[in-house]
Amino acid sequence: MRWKSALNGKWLLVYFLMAASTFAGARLITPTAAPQANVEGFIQLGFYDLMSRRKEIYDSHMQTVNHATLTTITNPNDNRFVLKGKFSEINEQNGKRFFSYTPIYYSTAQKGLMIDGLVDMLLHIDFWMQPVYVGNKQLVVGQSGAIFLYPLRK
Amino acid sequence: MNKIYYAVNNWLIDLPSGSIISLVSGERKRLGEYQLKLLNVLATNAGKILSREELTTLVWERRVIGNNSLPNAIHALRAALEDDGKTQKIIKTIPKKGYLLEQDWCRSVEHDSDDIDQPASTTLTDATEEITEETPDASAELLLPAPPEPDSGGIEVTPRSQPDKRSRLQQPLIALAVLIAVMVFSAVAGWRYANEQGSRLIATEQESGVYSNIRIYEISEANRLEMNKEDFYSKIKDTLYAINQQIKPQSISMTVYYQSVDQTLNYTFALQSRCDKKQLVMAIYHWRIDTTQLNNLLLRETRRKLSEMEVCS
Repeated sequence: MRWKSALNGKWLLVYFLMAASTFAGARLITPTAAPQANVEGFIQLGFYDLMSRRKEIYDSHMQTVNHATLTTITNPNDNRFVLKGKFSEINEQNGKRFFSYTPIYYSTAQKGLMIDGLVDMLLHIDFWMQPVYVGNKQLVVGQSGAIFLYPLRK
Repeated sequence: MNKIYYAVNNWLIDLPSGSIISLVSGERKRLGEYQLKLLNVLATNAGKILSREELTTLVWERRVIGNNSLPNAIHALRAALEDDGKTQKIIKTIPKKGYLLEQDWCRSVEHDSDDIDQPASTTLTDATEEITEETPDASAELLLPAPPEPDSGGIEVTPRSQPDKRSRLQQPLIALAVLIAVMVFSAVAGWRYANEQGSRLIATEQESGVYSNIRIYEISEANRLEMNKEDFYSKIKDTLYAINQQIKPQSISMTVYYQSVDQTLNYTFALQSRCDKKQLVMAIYHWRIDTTQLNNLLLRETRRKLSEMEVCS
């Protein structure tokens, strides 16, 4: 009887409301990923394909300007290649920071580059990056799986 | 011959004497004939909803009664059984359906005699009374407490349940305990949901302490199944050994982070000496097709970056 009384309609409603509010509260107050500091630095990217035995090396410069990150990618072996673009942060969801990519300038003498696959992905989806901490070191993992170590350095 | 008696909230229905007897104190309360009959009918059908028509037929049979006779009798029974018209814990009014005697408050009693010891008592009600008006105090007039009589006729009682005052006091405590449990569970669930939803990534060190100058971390989803773990390290351990032999004399440390996404290996390494730092972010497509080629590539690119390192003076 005691358990029946504690499980009657009114109490069940109270339980449900408390459960829902506590669940939502715990979800909301759980700290989100730490805000990413302003980015400035160089990084070298390498694209390799073991099947076609191809290799592409690019130097990338990133700089945060007015809440957007400007990137300039060049090819150290081909000075005709220049790719400039802008990453604008859209929002953060489940620890992932979503960006939209806007191309600014693209010049290349070749077609069918492996980096074109990355550019195509950036252009057609809102790209996410997720910070990962290893001790006091901060990594950023991109949606493509690329792993960057902060601070950026060539 | 065995006969079944009923007790409601520890009040035994004693039809022959026209009264109910407390099984706790032995107190006797006299009820009107139809009230007692009504109580007996409700107890016999405990747990079942009886319509007004059914009750009228079973209790008053074919007699013509007023509209308020049944509600008044129910009111009187509630008062006699220490029930409340508001909470209706024993006799419930089911709107548009009828009345229900809660089974939990009812017990069946088997006895081999028709007689139950009757203590002296007086009555204010007539056995053939007919109630026509609904008055809250009417019930009080129907009852007269009799001197306590601890003996209830040597009857053995089979309890269906035993609600008592203490248990009723415990009720809010139980509800509160359930509430706290629900809140704790929800908080934990919310916290886990916030942390694990969206496949959070973590870095896990691999083969810790194998190399003096190299540390290796695998990036993976936090909720990845153990059976999906891949032994990537064993494919490149010879290369890592060769690199470790090379960087050890130069006091260069190397950290490797890798993540395999289908046929693409994302492999980033960072080199650090006293005077310089380098890193290379590699995306290796179709890395699974040739382990030798993969090892050669990793060795070549690591050596290329090593050669770019400034020599510390």
